[in-house]
Order: sequence, then C-alpha cells, then structure tokens
Amino acid sequence: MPFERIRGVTNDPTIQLMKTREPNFNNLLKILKNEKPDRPTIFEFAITGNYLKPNADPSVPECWDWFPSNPFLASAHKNLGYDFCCGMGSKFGFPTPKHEKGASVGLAHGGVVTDQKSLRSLDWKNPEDFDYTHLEKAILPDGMGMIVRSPGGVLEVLTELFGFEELCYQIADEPELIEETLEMIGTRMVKYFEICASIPQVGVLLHSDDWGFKSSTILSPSQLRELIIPWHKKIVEACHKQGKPVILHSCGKLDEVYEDIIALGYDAKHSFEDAAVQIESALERWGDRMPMLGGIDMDFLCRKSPEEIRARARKLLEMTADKGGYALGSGNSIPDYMPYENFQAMNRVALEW
Amino acid sequence: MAVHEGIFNAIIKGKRKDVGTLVQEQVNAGAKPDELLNESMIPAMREVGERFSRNEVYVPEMLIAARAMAAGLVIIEPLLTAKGIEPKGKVAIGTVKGDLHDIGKNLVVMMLKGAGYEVVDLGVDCPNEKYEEAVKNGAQVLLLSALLTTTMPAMKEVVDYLRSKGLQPKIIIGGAPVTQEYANEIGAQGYGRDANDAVKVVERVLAA
Ligand code: B12
Repeated sequence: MPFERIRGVTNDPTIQLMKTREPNFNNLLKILKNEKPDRPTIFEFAITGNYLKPNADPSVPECWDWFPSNPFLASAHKNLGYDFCCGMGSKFGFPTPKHEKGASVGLAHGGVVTDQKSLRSLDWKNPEDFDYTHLEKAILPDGMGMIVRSPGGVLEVLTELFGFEELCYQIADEPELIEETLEMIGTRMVKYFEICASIPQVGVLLHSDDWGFKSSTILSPSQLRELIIPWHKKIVEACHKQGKPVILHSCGKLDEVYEDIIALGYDAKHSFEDAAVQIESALERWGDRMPMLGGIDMDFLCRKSPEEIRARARKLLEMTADKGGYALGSGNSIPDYMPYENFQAMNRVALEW
Repeated sequence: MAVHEGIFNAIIKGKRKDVGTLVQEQVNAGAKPDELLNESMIPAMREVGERFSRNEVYVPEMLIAARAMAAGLVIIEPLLTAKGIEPKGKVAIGTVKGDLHDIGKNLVVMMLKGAGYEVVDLGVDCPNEKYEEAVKNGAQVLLLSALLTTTMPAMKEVVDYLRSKGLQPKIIIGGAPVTQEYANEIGAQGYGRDANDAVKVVERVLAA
C-alpha cells in the first residue's frame, strides 16, 4: 500500500499553472444554481495550513486568522486555483469544552451540560458582540469571493455540550433540557448567519453540521426532523432573505434525509464518503435537484495512486459536464495527512481541462 | 425457561427501571440467572443489534437499550459469579494510537457486553503495550478501532508488534475508513462494519 506522508511542498509543477488561472467567483455561483460553470471549478472548505503556507505569495505577510478576508489565506487559495476564500465570519464561538490535542477528538463523554443550572452558567457569548468589519473591508484578488462558514453546526455543538452518550440519554430523559439548549445554540447560530449574510462582500455561506456516520444518521431521522432540522430551516431562510446561497457540509450516510436537505432549500451539499454514499451515486440520485461539491473519498484520495485519482476526477467532471451543478474536490477536507501530490493530482484535472 | 417477554421488550424499548424491577422479580421468584441472561436479555440486545444493522433503530435507541440491559446485568452478574458461571469469552478493545474517536468503539463495547462477553475497554489513543498487556491478561480477541486514514496504519503496527512478541490473539478491526480488504492486507482475522457485526465476527473468530 502506498502510504506516504508528504509534508510541505516540493517541486510542484502545477503551481505555475495555477498562478495563471484567473479566479472567477461566478463559477461557484452558477454551480450553486445547478448551472454549468464557464470552466471546471474546484472546491474545498478546509485546507491544512501546511499546504496553504507555501502557496501564498511571498509578498503577503504571513497571518493565520481563519477569516476569508485574510490576504494571506486568500492569496494561497488563489494560487491553488480556487475562486474563493473560505473562513469564519468572526471570532464568535460556543462554550464547548476544550479538547486535548491529538489526531482527533473523543466525543462520547466529557460534556459540560448535565442540567439547567450547568447550561445557564456557561459563558454564552452573542454573535452580535463580535467584529465583522474585516469582511466589509476585505481586499481580495480580482475575481475572488468570500465564503463564510459557521462555528460548528447545531447538532455538533449540542453533542459537544453534552457528550454524545449523555445527549442520547437526555433526549429520552429530559426533553425540556434539550429544547432549552437548542434554543440557546440555535438563536445564536441564526443570528451569526443573519449578520454574515447581510454583509454585501460575503458571497456564500456554509453551515457545517455532521449528521451521520458510516452506516446511518447519528440521531434517528425523526429526531433530526424534530430537533435539528427546524433550526437549519431558519438558517437557510436567514441566508436566502439576503439573497445569499448557503451550502450544507454534513458527513456520513444521509440517504434517509436527503429529501429533507433538498426541501430545506440548501443550495449545495458537501461531504461524501464511499462507505456511506458515493458522490457518483449521489449525483445520479439527487443531482438534478441539488448541486454537489467535492466528494472524492478521503481514504481513496489518501491511498490511491495519482493516476487512479486523476481517472476518477476526470469521470466526475465528464459526468457533470453538460448539466453543471458540480465542483471537484475532496469528500471532506485537505488535512495534512493527505499526500500533497494526490491533492494536486485531483485538482490538476480541473485546472488543465 | 422460555423467553421472558416482559424483560425482552423492556430492554428493546430501553425501559431501564422496568428491566431492573422485572429481573429482580424473576430472581426473587427463583429464576436461574444464567437462563434469564441467555434466553431473555442477550436475545433482546441481539434483536436491537439486528434492527440497528437494518437501519430500523438508530444509535440513540441502541444506547438506551444497552443502558436498560445494564440495569439488569447489575443484578445478574454477582449471582453468576457466585455460581461460578464464566462469561462467554474475554475480549479487549481500544481505539488505536493517535486516534481519540470513541463513540463507535463504545457502541461495540456495549454490544459485546450485551452479548455476554467480558469486555476490557482500553480507551483511546492506545499504545502497543496496552494491547500486549490485555492479551497477557487473558483477552482472546483484540478489537481495534480507527476513524482516520492516517491512524489506520497503527492497526498494522499492533498486529506486527504482537506477532513479534510471539502473541497470537485473534484481531478484529473496524471504524469509518476500515474495510475487509484492509483486514486481509494487515493479517487481521476479522472486520466488522458496525457494532452488531462486531459481535458476530467475535463469535466467528472464537469458533474458528
Ligand atoms: C463526528 C466527526 C468528527 C468530529 C468529532 C469526532 C468524534 N466523533 O469524536 C470532528 C468535527 C471533531 C471531526 C474532525 C475531523 N474529522 Co471527522 N468525522 C466525524 C464523523 C462525521 C462521525 C464519527 C463518529 O463519531 N461516528 C459515530 C460512530 C457510531 O461511528 P463509527 O465510529 O464509525 O463506529 C461504527 C462502526 O464504524 C463500527 N466500529 C467502530 N469501531 C470499530 C471497531 C471494531 C473492531 C469493529 C468490529 C467495528 C467498529 O461500529 C460503530 C457502530 O456501528 C465521521 C464520518 C464517519 N463516516 O464516521 C467523520 C470522519 C471520520 N472525519 C474525517 C475527517 C477528515 C476529519 C478531520 C481530519 C477534518 C479536518 N480536516 O480537520 C478532523 C480530524 C480530527 C482532528 N484533527 O481533530 C473523515 C476521515 C476520512 C479519512 N478516511 O481519513 C470522516 C470519515 C468524514 C469524511 N467525510 O470523510 N470529525
């Protein structure tokens, strides 16, 4: 098995090619209307700093604020061939427990909410108390747009506050506590989206809320419908009220709730896994009603050869060449354990089209 | 003794108070604890597992059923020990080095306990030595969980490490990116696609 970590960037033949590609945010906007972009377009919602850093223009001072208005991040995104820069709207966040550092985080236990008292005594911040003016003042490379993403998602924050197992018990034992917590999370999340969507310079929004895992949704579809989806509806409405498209990033096997996602009015779905729902099959089943972004399975991208990756990427672009409504990218994100040459093998197919 | 419908249904519905009350009633009335366990309680958890595999029940319902089962087990277990009745087998499970995901692993633990096994939970981010110790303490089967492609190779390291120490436990792997193909590749004896499958694979490798 070829499993090699390539940290940092060496002799990348595509960097020059990408520097000559002019960004055009309209391509993404067309995709989100399920239309055909003017040229194949690439999409990622998160890329490791290790791969962004060597791609930013040396003239731009290094800065690691994860804002789409950050010239350093925008420069790296442009040079990698993207039409946008994606990041947070402000430093607003939820009072979730801090995790120890590691390759991933455990979520089964370790929550901070056990009852109404602990819920109310948390240090809840309000999104309106944070600074968003950097978005208005942003000077991006010509043609680039900004995507603002959320600080987690409604279900994700709920899970972190309780710990997953405790959450499941409390849904059964203390439904009022769950409802009150959701109200505290949901109203703030909606407000955050309202603020960001109202800023003219922000082109697109993204709500990341993992609903599933390998074999099904993590809460039952009916629990999602009762507890989580109503808040998503308010978020989508807040964005659409300002005429802004909004993308849903949600991992796992969600086939049982795809109709709900479509009915919510999300303008695209992001995150796919071969073990759950393959991007190719998702495009066939729901692509006529829902644009799709990314989708090449993470394990595939990490462990297959650049040739196999190119072949799959080419097929995906061919599959969607007439209809549009698709941007090429990974099934989840580009973490630093993804070999750089595989990441570039995928993107090059779109960039050289 | 046939299946006790009340206990069976209370576990499936996750009614832990009812399970506790009913099991205690049965014990007081002279029912054999091993029969209660094997004929009513374990079959109930097996049924929940099957429904989970068919996406008819979801993780929260499975957790609640496991919690109800546990309410019965606290009553039954001391009685079994007193009678010298051994669990079906001893297994150990941990999430591999570098990986802290625990939700899936914990579900596997619950299903294995619910199937009558003694389960040693090694936790997350487990170094090779932890698995070694578990085998030396009598675990016949080792279960490894990994959720990221970058932590999957740690599964192979565990297999190689134990073999190099001359230990031959049966090894079963699982988690989001893990496949049967990968199990074959690293020389693991089994792969389980979900927590219900994990029980079946443990049964299969122990019978082999
Ligand atoms: C929730 C989640 C997160 C959460 C928290 C993780 C947690 N749960 O503690 C957060 C948001 C923090 C997160 C972060 C990341 N994640 Co994540 N995450 C998930 C998600 C959506 C669910 C994981 C989960 O909790 N599942 C619930 C349990 C019930 O399922 P499970 O663990 O699979 O277990 C079941 C079976 O697999 C099986 N099983 C499990 N273990 C074992 C063991 C044995 C022996 C057996 C037989 C069976 C078995 O039984 C269980 C029950 O049936 C998965 C998607 C997925 N498909 O799983 C992605 C996923 C694991 N994440 C992924 C990625 C890429 C990441 C990040 C790298 C993203 C990034 N760029 O930062 C980071 C890495 C972590 C970090 N650096 O902190 C990828 C991994 C891809 C890969 N192949 O490497 C996945 C698969 C998503 C995707 N779209 O591809 N993640």
